[in-house]
Amino acid sequence: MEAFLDALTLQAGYNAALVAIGAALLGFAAGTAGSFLFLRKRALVSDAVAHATLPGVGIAFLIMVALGGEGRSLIGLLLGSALSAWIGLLLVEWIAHRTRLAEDAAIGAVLSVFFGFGVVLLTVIQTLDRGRQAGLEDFLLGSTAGMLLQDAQIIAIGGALVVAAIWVLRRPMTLVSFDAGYAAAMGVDTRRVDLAMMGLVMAVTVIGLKLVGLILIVALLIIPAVTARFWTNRVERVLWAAGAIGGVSGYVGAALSASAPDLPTGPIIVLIAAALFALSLLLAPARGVLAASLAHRRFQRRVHRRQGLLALVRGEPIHDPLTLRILRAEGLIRADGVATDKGRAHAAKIARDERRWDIARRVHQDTSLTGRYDGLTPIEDVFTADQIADFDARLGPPQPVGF
Amino acid sequence: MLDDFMTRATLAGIGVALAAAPLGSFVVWRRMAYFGDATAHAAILGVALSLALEISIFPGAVAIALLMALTVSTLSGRGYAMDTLLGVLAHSALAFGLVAVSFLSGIRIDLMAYLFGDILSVSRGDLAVIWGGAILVAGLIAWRWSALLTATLNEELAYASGIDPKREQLALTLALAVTVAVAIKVVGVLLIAAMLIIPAAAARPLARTPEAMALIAAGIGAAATVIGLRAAFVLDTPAGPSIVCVAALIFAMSSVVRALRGGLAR
Repeated sequence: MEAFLDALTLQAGYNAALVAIGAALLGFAAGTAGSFLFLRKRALVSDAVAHATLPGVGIAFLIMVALGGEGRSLIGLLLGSALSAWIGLLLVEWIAHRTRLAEDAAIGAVLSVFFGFGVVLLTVIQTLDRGRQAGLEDFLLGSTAGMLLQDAQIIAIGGALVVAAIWVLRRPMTLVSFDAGYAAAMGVDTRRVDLAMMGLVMAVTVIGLKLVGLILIVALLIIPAVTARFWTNRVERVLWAAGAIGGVSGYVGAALSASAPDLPTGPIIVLIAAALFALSLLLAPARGVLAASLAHRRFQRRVHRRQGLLALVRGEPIHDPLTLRILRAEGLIRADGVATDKGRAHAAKIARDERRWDIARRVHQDTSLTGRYDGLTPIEDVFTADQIADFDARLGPPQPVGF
Repeated sequence: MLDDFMTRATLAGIGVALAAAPLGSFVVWRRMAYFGDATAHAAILGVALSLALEISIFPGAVAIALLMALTVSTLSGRGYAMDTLLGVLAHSALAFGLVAVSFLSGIRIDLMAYLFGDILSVSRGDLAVIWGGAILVAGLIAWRWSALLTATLNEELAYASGIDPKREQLALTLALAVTVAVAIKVVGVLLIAAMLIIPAAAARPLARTPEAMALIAAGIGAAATVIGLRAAFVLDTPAGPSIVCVAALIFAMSSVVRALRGGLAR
């Protein structure tokens, strides 16, 4: 616990602090870049991109060894991975456009083929007796253990650069991801913006390879955006909230994994993001499961209350147990089911409003007003007092209702 | 005959290919590619739980795969975007499984076997489970074939002929969960989607009827298994990914055939 607090407050050494900051920056970049993808409904393309990085890592290692190095330069490996990710992306586009296969099948095919080929390459590399191949498999699931100072610096600087790029490009990308047709009409080159978007996603993927690993980096792109979407309907807010969620996940995850050396970094970061997602799924106002079920219950109670009161008006017996319970709880009927004075008053009002609505729908031509009749909206909320007085004038004298 | 590990591996691979081919055809037609991938990813959580409880991985993987598939089916009707939901759930389950495994000491090396498959260590018992599962899946799909096809083609048509598309979807989900569980040993969690999609995608340009596509896909899957295993043996590469690489080559060749034929037709 103490080690975790140390790591959380950046007291666990220079390297760990740099890694935590790098992870926070990366998470922020992934969250915002992912929201653009999510809004553009292309979230899963990033999965293919991430898996397509693996052969690049292997080939870059082989080339660097062949040139006489030890093949461990992170920059070189990342360049290789970026190149093969780009090829994978082009292949997905090509298959989706030039064959009869749908985009999801194209993504699945490219993803698994590149990934399978990459694993074969890694295995071949393991059997080589040249270069220092230890640590290459960390690219699969991510690891901060044994990370060099230089690697941590690359991640921190890369994350900061991506965040800066997103800041510069946020307006055109918001426009395109929100409404591509409108953006094109405004004179924005949507193809180039899409390209820039995929470029940012690729940058996040490549920088995150060492930290989160290529299998789970997609999760860091998608989950913050989906989580943020639960809380707000505004594009700008989704962006920054997703960034914050990603940043917190990255920071806390890196600190946790630094404090317990056996915990794999990537899965821990993703798990924290997933926990935030689960909380939002349950608790978010308006879109959360809890809020939705509460709203449903409230609606159900209002319908039952109204049906019960209408039954009182018509003098019909009420059998539904929920209706009886609601009416009793509000003191509208007695325990033996007979209406109280208060119940009679409410029922009379509902019956009167019902007849007012009848008149309103007959005499009023404005369907945007009469269309709001759903039995639950009070008539006072829709029409002015003068209009209601007019309806009352047409109602004729009060009539007794059946009690 | 079953004493030789290569024979056992080949038989196991062919078993999976036979189950995956018809199912994979439906996955391609119904655009469920990501659904299959997500179910497979989630299965690693089942593997981790099985390891923790010290039971056979098969029931654990089937249970979690089914749970995942059913969760997605239920949530998808409620206005959440299906593909992102799959991405979130699948990767969360995968991350959870990986972390759970890291808490169990001593199986770190085993994990790679479940991620990428360990076809060369298939035992006679595994072989029985794989073929049992494969026959179950193939039987299920053969039994529901025409209903499944109608439901895939047109839901209204299916309703009109007295078929419940939801029930057919459930049958496919069940088949998918079983396939994922038996394929873990052969190609691993991360490459199961390849065994589903690639043979079916490669068979598509060569087939004129749905039945032919499923049969050709089975043939391609089996061929990829045999050649891939042979290549893995000769080149000393991992078996599961090698099988996928061969399947990819066959896919590339079939694309070329299609392109040439398209050129002649024009």
